[in-house]
This record gives sequence, structure tokens and C-alpha cells, in this order.
Amino acid sequence: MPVISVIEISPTSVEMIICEKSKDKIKILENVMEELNIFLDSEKNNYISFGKGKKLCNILNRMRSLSKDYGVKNILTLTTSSFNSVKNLLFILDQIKIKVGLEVTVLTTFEKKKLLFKKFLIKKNEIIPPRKNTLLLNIGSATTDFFIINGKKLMINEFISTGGYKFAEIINNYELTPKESNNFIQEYIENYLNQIKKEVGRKKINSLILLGESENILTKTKGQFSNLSYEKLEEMMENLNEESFKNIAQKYSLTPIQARTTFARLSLLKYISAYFEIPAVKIFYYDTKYLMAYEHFYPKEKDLMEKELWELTIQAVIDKANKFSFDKNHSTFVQNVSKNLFDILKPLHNMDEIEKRHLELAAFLHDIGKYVNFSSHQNHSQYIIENSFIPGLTEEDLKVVGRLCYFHNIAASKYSENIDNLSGKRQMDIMKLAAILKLSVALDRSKRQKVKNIKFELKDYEIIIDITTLEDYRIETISFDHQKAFFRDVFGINPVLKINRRLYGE
Amino acid sequence: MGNNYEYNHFYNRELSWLEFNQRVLEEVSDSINPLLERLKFLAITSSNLDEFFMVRVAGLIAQYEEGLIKKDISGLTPEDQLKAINKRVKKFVQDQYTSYKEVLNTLNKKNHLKIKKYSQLDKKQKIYVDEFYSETLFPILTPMGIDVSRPFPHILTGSLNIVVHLQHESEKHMSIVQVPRVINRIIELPSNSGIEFILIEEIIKSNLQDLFPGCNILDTGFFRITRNADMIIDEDEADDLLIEIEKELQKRKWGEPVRIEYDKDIPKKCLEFLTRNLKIQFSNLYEIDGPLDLTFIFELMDHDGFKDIKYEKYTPKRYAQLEKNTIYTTLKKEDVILSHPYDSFDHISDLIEAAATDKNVLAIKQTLYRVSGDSPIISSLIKAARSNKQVTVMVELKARFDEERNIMWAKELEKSGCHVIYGIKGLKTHAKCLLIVRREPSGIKRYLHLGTGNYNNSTAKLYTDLSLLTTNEELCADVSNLFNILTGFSQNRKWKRLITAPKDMRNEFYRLIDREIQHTANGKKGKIIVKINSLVDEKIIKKLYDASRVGVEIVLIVRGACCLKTGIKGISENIKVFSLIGRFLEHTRVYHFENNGDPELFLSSADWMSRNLDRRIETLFPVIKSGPYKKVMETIDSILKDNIKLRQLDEKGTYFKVKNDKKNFSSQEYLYGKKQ
Repeated sequence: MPVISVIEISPTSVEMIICEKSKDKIKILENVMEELNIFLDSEKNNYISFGKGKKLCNILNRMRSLSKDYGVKNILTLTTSSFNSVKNLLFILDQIKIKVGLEVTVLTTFEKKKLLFKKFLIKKNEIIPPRKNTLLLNIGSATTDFFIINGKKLMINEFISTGGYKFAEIINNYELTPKESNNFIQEYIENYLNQIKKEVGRKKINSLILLGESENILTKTKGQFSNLSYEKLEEMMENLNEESFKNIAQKYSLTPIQARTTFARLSLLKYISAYFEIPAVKIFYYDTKYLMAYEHFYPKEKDLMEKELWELTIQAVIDKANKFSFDKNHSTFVQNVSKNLFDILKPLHNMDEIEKRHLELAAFLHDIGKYVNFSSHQNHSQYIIENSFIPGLTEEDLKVVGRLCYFHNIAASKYSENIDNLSGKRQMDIMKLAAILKLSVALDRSKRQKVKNIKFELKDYEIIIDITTLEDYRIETISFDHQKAFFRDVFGINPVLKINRRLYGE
Repeated sequence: MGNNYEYNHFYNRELSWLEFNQRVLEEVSDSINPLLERLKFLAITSSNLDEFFMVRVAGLIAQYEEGLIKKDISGLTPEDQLKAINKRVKKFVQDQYTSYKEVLNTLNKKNHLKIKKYSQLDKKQKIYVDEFYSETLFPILTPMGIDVSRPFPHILTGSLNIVVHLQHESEKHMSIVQVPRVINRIIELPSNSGIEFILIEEIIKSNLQDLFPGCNILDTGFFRITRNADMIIDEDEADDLLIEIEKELQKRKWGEPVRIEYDKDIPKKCLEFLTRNLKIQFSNLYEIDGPLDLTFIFELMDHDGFKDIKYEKYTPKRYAQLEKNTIYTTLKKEDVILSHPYDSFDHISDLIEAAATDKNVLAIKQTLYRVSGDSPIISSLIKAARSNKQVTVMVELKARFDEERNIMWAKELEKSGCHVIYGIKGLKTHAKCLLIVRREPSGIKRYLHLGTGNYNNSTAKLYTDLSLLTTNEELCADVSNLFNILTGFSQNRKWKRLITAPKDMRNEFYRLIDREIQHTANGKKGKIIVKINSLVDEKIIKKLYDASRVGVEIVLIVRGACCLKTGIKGISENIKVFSLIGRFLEHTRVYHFENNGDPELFLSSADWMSRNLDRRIETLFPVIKSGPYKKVMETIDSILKDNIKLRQLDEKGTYFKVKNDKKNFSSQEYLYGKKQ
């Protein structure tokens, strides 16, 4: 049975699970944690000191050694998004590679959120009540995410740029007592909650689910799910307010920084529950490391989950596009044609599902910049996309989609401006996707979806696009002719438009 | 004192321990025991007493010298305790040597063996020992003269010495001759009338003149000193604990002297000379009417003869289902309890040996506290490491009196590629755990051994201990976690089945006792049966008094020191304390809580001592009712049925032999015989 280790490096600790794939479940063989306040003794912000780097390598070496006890050959190592801003991250990652022999994946904020969504999706039937507005709350180390979901639809997604660890740092630096910390957090969060409330409008939030971390140590609850009534939460916070952080740490066997972080998380939970008048919250524990192991062991389930997440992504993209009054019919036409072209051209591009999805998303979003200004709308589309959060998409995904949207309305001679910093293969992929997108857009240049039927045939040196229409198709033809040179340059085949004037069956 | 308990509700720990040693001494007079074994009990008392002085008395002296006047559990200051110990030990030593003479006399009368003085040797024997002296002893003797230019020499702790008063021309001075430790203390004599021995100090004393040519020997006397053997290690400051302990061990040889034993014929002048130079506190001077240091008797036990006056040989039982080719299958099906020494401890060493050469074994993790001299376990671990298995060994460098040996093992293991760890700062790792990680077709499988005694193949033949062998996943995960903590991970995960000290064990015992109190208070069945080596923890004793007060029936089988008093009206009337001293040293730690008919049974590496509960890494592990529960309880029941070796503590603090009208029954013989 395969065994792997997953290591997660967070600002306060390094954790590892060693797990084995068994018939129908993942068996956790080891679950170890080593405290390491990685930034705390650094004089510079977002800098990992020499001492901490050395300690980190030592811990990782011990984890590697423990992994050997179980014959582990594959160790997945990841960090949280808060590491993205570390100034000497490259050096630290290099040291880890050389001294420990581990490749560390640094998750971006959106990659982390993608994992977060997967966690919710994996248990959605158990945690998300149907047809009710559910606030999914994720208090990360550096961000706090608010997702409001109704059934399968993501209604709102917002985040604030502070989380449990950031609050703990403030509490520590300003030597706040639990009571003072509570007041501080309440005042800090209130403005944001007002804003979210405006977005929610008159809709009532029926339930709140928190993605748990260390709360169960204080709430003394067990299991993957735990329910916590507001009264109990309030009573618990009142009791904690009377203690010192030192006492809290001692009482619950937490490190000083863990005590502050957990307290801050519970304090946030309390105010958010009170604000939205939620009588009981559900805390859901699902470990990122476990999810990584799950995806590693069960690639089919991973694909299924990716598929479900993709549906959520499409929902969110349509939502986003709606905000900018997009032309749904045109976008859907472009999406379908692009998908078909992508599939038939597979032997010529050899790209994967992910690139296909980028293409689909660009098909939806390429025109949203028009909401800002018709002129140079491709610039606005790109800007909006690159500065959005769409569940299931990473920063990298958004960059690709943004570039495609930019290219759809740009002359080929200007392409190098936007892709110079990409690798040759990546540049080529984007060019090919752009060529497909441009051709697809051209086929509905009038935005009237004149085509009744469309067929594609790939030959040695040409691709025949066989369409059936009864309408005047001149503008599309001109547009097609305009785009085909670029397509030919990129794919090395000539796109040929064949127009049938009769409908089948006539 | 608080909690409604007074000083007079407790016994002093040291005095109670001395009573334990007295019980061992009583075995010397017990005619049920074979004659030579009776003598061996004497050697045990002697060795016990040495350790007692090196550690306990030395500690009290240090407290006294620091001016501490804090009273112990029984209301005695360090000074009070030292005085009481001195008085008690003097009486004890008298009893010891009376017994020695009695047994030796019987041995002599029955023509089994004789220990002769030099003056009692026949001509042939004299020639033999004189030759032995010239050829073997003389070359290794170094007299240490003491005068103005030669200060009083460092005398090794535990060594036997001869003080010699000399006159050279008109000058008188003292000299000291250390009796060598590198050769046997007892020498067999050529004899036509049975087996006869002489002690080497007798030979040296009679040939002393050879060492001091030209001098006149005025007086001579034997003496022996015992030094403080406590080590002070500042673990915060220690870069490498191993090196630090090595340094401290060197110092220990020269700790402050805490006792002088001298033979009763030593001239007054010599004794004064010694006390003046050694600055012994608290009149810890013990006059001995016989040979000093009775541990030489252990050498007699190794003699090939004496079969009739020694315990009959026994072979511990082996089980077919625990042999190399069957053990994994057996353990996957069921938990196994082995009761040592009746069940062979070799099953455990064999398991490690088999793991070392099993290609499917990925890792072996083990704690080592006290290991035998030529440990097969160490050899197996080295073999495993050399076969590229992951071997993690927690060697406790601070195991008292085994430090040197453990340092040696630690170095050996490290050299072979084992990952050797020394545990957690400030805590001794006393838990006995062995975990084997094996790759099997169904996935990773862990095999676990948890014990009440050490991984010591020699003592496992003499001490009673229990071993639990299991593949219980929760226990295995807990022990994995324990090893992770020992190797430095700081996970504070909730344990699933295992209870560990110092974190949780004390509170868990409180909870378990409180539950019995609750049951009894509610008219349900509450009963506690505990078998341990020492009961000296004040808080636990108070809890037991609390339990007794509400009517919980408490049965304690405590081999050694017990500070709890039985029969105190309104406090401890429901508590019975037993102690069993026999052929095998009772060493199992068993905790049984009735829980109103749903009993919980635990085994442990810990006693009810503060050091176990607060300053050591210990384990308390459950034996599930559906598992080998019955086998453990059978052991306990048999002890309580014993009417030969079992003693009970009365309200006056005296242990009396349990007698009844029933057929004679010896627990150890029953358990041993049953396995034949």
C-alpha cells in the first residue's frame, strides 16, 4: 500500500502527517507538529532569520527521518500563502532543497483558497444545508474569507486582509489582555461586516460554518464537526476574558502565540455570529495535509472534485460577468466554438484540461471591459480579471485568462508586450489559445449567433470550419479572414470557412 | 498538613524502606529457602543498603548541610531522619551479621561450605594462598602511605581497604591498602573436607609485611567507605548530555563520604584516624562483626556446586505461537501478556532479533533504561541499523548506577547508525516501549511491546514483570507519538489509550480513584487493587485515605517503601497493605479499578512515587477486558492467596506473615510450577 508524507509549514508551526492508502480510506500513521514561530524573532518584516531557517531545516530533516520509518519515498511539502511575501523566500527554499532534499510548494492565497473550497466540497452534503444561505468562514493566518453559498451557487465571496495570526501578532506586540483584544477585534471587524451586510442585502444568513483549526482545544469538542451555540461561545469568551494569555496557554497546553491566535479566531467567530444573528455555528475540521494526501491517493476523486469545483467556478464567472453586463449568448457561442476547436486541434497543441478551461473562461469574460470603456476594452477586461477572486482559480489561472482576454482584441504584432516574461512553451500555449479565441469571436462578430450548425474537420494543412446559416454572414467572414493569418502562423494550418446556405433536413 | 491528615498518619519513607530491607533480611532466617539462597538474601540486603546510603542518606545529609528544616510527610526534618536512620541501621547491621553467622554455621555444620580465616588454614592451604598472594595479589597492591608530605588518599566508594599503622625506626605513620576489585573476593581453597573458601582481604592482611619491608606493623583494620553518588547535571547548560554525564561520573567516584564501615577489631587509633580524615557526619560509623561488604556472597552463587542448597533450576516457558515464524500472525489476532520470569523474556529479545533481519521491517523504536551487560537486544538493534533499518533508541543516560553502561551502549548504537536520543530535558525516561514498523501486503503494521520492567535479559530471569504485546492501533499510534515527543516533536495531541507521566498520569489516577469514591458513595461497588514497588506519594496516599473514608475497599501490594498507614480509625480502616518477598523480586506494576462491575486494568512502568508521576516519562496502559485481563488478575489473585511469603502491614507498622488454615500456597511457586 502506498505511503506518503505531507508537510505543511505555517508561520507558527511545521506539521506533518504520514499516511497510507488503504482500500477505502486514508490511514494516518503519524501526525507530528513542531512549534516554530518563524517570523517572530526577525527584526525585519517578512524575513526568515538565519537561526529560524536553520531550525526549519533541522525540523524538516527530522520529519524526513521519521518518514523513512514508514518507507516513505514521496514527501509533499507546502507552505501557506503568508510565505509569499517573505523577502528571502527563494534563499530559504534553496537551503531546504540542498540541506533537506525537499521541494517546497509555496501556495498562493488563491491556491490555498482553492484547497479550502475543495474541503467544503468534499463534505458539502454534510455541512451545507440545501436552499439556505450559508456563510462559510475561513480565518486563515493572514486573511479572513467570507463565502456565502446557497445550494451550489456562490453568492458572495469577500475577504479581509487579516487573520488569526496577524491579530495574534498585534495582540502580542501591543501586549493586549484578552479583554482588550476582544474589543480591538470587534472594532476592527465591524466596518467590514457592515460592507458584507450591504452586499447580502435583505437576505438572511441561516447558518455559519467555520473551517476549524485549534478551536476544539478550547471548546473541548471532538470529531470532524462540532456544533457550538452562541450562548456557549459567549460564555466561553467571557471566561477567557478574565484570564491572562499566559494562563490560557498553560491551561490548554498551547504555545503563547497559539493561545493568542486561537483566542483571536474565537473572538472573530463570536462577533461575526452575533452580527449575523446566528444562534449556533458549526465548526468543520478538515486538514489541508489530509486533502493533499487524498488527492494524491485518489486521482479519480480529485478529478471529480475538480469538476465540481469547476461548476462553482463557472457559476462565479457568470456572476462576475453579469456584474459587467456581459452578452451571455455571445459568450456562450464563443465558449462552445472555442471548446470544439480546442478539442479538434488537440494533436497540434497537446494542451490539457486546465488550458481548455482557461479558454472557456476567457470566452465568458473577454468583453467585460466594455463596461468600463469600449475603447481598449481588452485592457479593462484583463485588469478586472487579474484583480478578482474567482473560487477555484489561482492567481496564475487569472493571469492566463486575463492575457487571453487582452489578446482577443489586439493585433498580433503587439503580443510580445504581454508574454515576454513567460517560458517558450507557455508563450506558445497562450498564442494558440488566443488564436482559437480570436477565430471563435470572429464567427460571432455581429453577436447575433447566426450560425445554426457548425462542424470542424482537421486535415493535414487546413482546418475546415463548416457552418450552416441562412443569414447574412459577411461581417463574420471579413472578421474571420482578418484573424486567420494569425491562426495559420501559430498552428501551421490554414483555417477554411465553408458556409452552407441550407439547413439540414431542408 | 491540611486535608485533615496529620503527620502521624504517614510513615517516613526512609524508615519504611529500611523495614523493607528488614523483610528481605528475614528471608535469611526462613528455613523454607535453600541454605545458600538464604545467604544470597543477605548479599541483597547489603547491596540494597549501599545504594540507600549513596542516594537517600547522601541526599538527606546534603539537605541538612544546606540548613533545610522542612518536614517530610511524617513530620521529620532531615536531621530527625538521619538520626532515626542511624539508629535503625545499627540494629539492622547487628541482625545482618547475626544471620550471617547463623547461616554460615549451618552451612559449615552440614558440610556444605566453610569460609575460613587465615589462621584456620591447614599447611597445604597456607602454601596455596601464600603462593596466590605472591603471584596474583602482590603485583597489584599499592600501599598508600600517609604522612606530612603525603595527604590522605582518595578512597574509592565501595572499596574495601586495610588501614595499617606502621612504625619505621622511630616514626609512626598510617598507610592504606586497597583490596583489589579486579579479582574475585572469594578464593576456593584446596580441601579434602568439603568446599572451603577464604576472602582475599584475609590473605592480604596476613601477608602485609611483604608490602612494608623494614617497617613494624603495629595495628591493622578493615574499613569501607560509601560516598554520595548523586549527580548534579545542569541540562540547560549541557551541550552534549553524554559528555556531561561522563564528566559527572568521574566526579561521583569522589563524592562526599556518607558512611564508614569498619571491622569490630579495628584499633581505636586507626578508627580515629579515619573519622578525622573522612569527616563523616551523623555518626554514620558502623561497626561490623564479620566480613565487610557481604556482596561477595553473589560470587558463591556462581559456583558450580551447591545444587542441593540452591533453588532448583527452572526454564521459563516458551510459547509456540510467539516463535519467530508465528508471532506476527498471533499478535494480529490477539493481545498477549507474558508474565516474567515464568514466561520467557527471550520472546521479546527474539522479536527484536527477528525484526533486525526481517526485510519487511522498516523501523524499530525502543526505550532503554537498564540493559544487561551482554545484551542480545543491543546486538539486534545494531544488526538492524546495519541492515539499513531505521532504528531509534531512547537511551536513558541518567539511569542511576547504570550510567556508565548506558553511555557505552549509546556510543555503540550510534556508531552502528542507530538514531540515539537521550530524552527530554529534566525528565528521566523510565517507560518501557518497543515499536516495530513492518510493511505487510495489507499495509503498514505496527507491533508493540509495553512492559513494567526493563529490557534486561538478566534481571528478567529474577524480577517479576509483565509484558503486553499488541497490535492495537490506538496504542501503537500513542506509542509512536511518545517516540515523536522523545525525539523532539512538540505535538500536544490527545492520547487515545496511553496515559503518560508527567503530563497526565497523576490526574488520571486521581480520576480513577475519585470514580471509585463516587461509586461507593452512591452505594455501588468500588474497589481498588494495586501492586507496586513503592507507595510514597503524599497526594496519592491522601486520595486513598479519602477513598477509604467513604468505604472503598483498597488492597495494596507494595513490595518496598510504603508511607501509608493502615488501620487508622476513620481514615484507613478499609485499606490493606501486603508485601511479598520471594525468590523473584516482585516488580510488576498493576492498577485495577473495580468501576462498579466494569473493571479497568492497567499496567505501568510507574510506581506511586512523586519521581515517577512528576519527574519521569512513564506509561500507564490498559489491558482490555476481552484481552489477556484474566492472566494478569490471576497473578494478583495468587499473590493474595499466598500464605508462605506474603506479609501484611499492621497498624503498628509491623509486617507479619499472612497465616491461615488453608493449604500452604506460595504464589511464586504456583506461577512457576504451573508453567512447568
